[in-house]
Amino acid sequence: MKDKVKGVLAAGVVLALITAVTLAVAGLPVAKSIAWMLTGSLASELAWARTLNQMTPLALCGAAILTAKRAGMFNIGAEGQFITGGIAGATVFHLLPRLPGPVLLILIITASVVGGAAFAWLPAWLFARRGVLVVISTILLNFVAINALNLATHTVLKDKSNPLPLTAHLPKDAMIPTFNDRTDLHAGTIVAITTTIATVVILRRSRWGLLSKAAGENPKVLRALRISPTKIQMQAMVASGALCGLAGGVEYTALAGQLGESFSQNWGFLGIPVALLGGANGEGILLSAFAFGALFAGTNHLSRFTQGGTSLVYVIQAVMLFVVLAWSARGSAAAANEAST
Amino acid sequence: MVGAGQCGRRERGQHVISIDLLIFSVPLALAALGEAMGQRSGVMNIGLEGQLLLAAFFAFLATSSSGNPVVGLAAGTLAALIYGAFLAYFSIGLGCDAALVGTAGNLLSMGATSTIFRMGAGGSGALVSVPLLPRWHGIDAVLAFLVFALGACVYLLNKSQWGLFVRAVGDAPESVHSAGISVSKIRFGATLVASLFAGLGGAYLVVGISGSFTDNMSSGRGFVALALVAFGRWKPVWVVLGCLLIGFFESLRFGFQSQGSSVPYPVLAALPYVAALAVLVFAGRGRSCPAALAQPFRP
Repeated sequence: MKDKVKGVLAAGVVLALITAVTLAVAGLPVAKSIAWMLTGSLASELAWARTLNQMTPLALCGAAILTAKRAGMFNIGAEGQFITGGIAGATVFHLLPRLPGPVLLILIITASVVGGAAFAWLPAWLFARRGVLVVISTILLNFVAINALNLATHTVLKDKSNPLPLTAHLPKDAMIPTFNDRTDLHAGTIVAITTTIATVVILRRSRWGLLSKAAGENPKVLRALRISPTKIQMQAMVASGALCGLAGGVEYTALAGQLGESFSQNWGFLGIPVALLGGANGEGILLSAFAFGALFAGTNHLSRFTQGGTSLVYVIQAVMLFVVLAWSARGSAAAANEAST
Repeated sequence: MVGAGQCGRRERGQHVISIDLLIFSVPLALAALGEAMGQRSGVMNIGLEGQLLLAAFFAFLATSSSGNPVVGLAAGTLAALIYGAFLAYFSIGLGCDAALVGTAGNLLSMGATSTIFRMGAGGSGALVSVPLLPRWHGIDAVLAFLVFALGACVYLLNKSQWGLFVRAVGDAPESVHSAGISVSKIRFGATLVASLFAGLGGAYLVVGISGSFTDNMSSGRGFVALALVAFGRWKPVWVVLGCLLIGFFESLRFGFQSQGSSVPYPVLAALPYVAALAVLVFAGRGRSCPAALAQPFRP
């Protein structure tokens, strides 16, 4: 326990250092910028709402990538599955617009989850049956999803009364409720946090979680138990896609209300560092999602006063990733040395 | 991380198959050709997208400050080489997961170029133009280099000793290691060749095609190049032909738009990716895929 607290503190200090250095290198006044970022992310009710809203897709996509990664699958297609989730939800609304709000909401979220899962099943199947690397097929499918979104918002799902390529806006009662009128903090955040915790608990405590870890680290064990590792890996990919689809559905029904070409803000990609920094078993994934959510909210605020914007967070995430990679490589090299001597 | 294609300064004519088609395919073809060499040695560079973007950005900076596109080409290529060596240090030297290293590289490149660009030239909103490479009868040095490089790659891979080593570390690194040859050195060398090509391709976006820089201007070409290597079954000639096919689809897209065709534009835009997937579905991993692709080697 003490070690974990130490680890979190160390990560926090390193993250703060990297943020400060990045701001300095970008030529921004460091102390002032950090103050602006804190104002924008943690200083008020509005700021907290902003942070938690950014955290929501990050946590879900992070959990999704972790689920696949533990089984040895690198799901770069989170972005595409997020978008497919949104499209599936909007399709339900397009087909059944007259349903009562709450029923519609439940159907939309279900469709999003199924849509994301189906879109992840395809690369999983390609891997299991045809040996196609998941990394390549999911990259390709991201492009397919982006173009499908463009097509849908321009043609089938387009709101005819609107000259812009957008789908019809959901009615208020079919959207995820907000807590009050002052901020747009919504109940979807609670769904995301609960789902993320549940995912981590399943991965760490359940039989399937153990099997998926074995599939990623030592498939021989599974073969010895007469369990097919590829089957477990396929299940992990589908679960991963379902989580991304849920993230897309929540984004659609809580904040966006309609789909446009810019529906996804790279959440699927940004979930990759969130997952990695959350630890191999996901114990810190919520903290990591929260930290990056706060950074996004903070830099959003920062961009009102300076030229620096959310692109700074990409740099911070990347440097943090390199630090963690170097750190863990050092750890495994030390372990290898110990084993050989 | 991905977006619609960028409009170039050189507007495309109605004629579909032309030197323009070649020129628009050059960045993708160079990146994919280099990546094919890298993947034959077992290294997959997920950070290729960021590498193209970084090369384009430095080519823009150097050209706009020196006024000479050749200096820009050199600066972009150098940036890509440093980036490639940095990522290779992590994935080959330290044995980290190459997909994670590449993702970090992409994020770094996107974030840094976009931040610096917005702080500097791009912040004003004015489009800064830089001079293009000189051409002879519509052909410039990089286009000529692509033709030469394709021949050189085919020769090097199949006829030279270095190529034999590259193919060997891609298929059976353990055997190469037992023969007393450093797997890391061969892979590092192949990565540098790949980085050189990616750098030229990325810089060419600026000094060969558009004459300016826009945020995220590589617009997914690096990812497409990765897929095209599998599409071309890891054979340089087929990879480059695949790139020309994508270039052809892109030009069709522009043609359709200008003629107001009934085929919706996103369908055409998605065609190359669907085609690449279809090839993967039918061919599967196949025999041509390097057996040790994307697996870190630990002796």
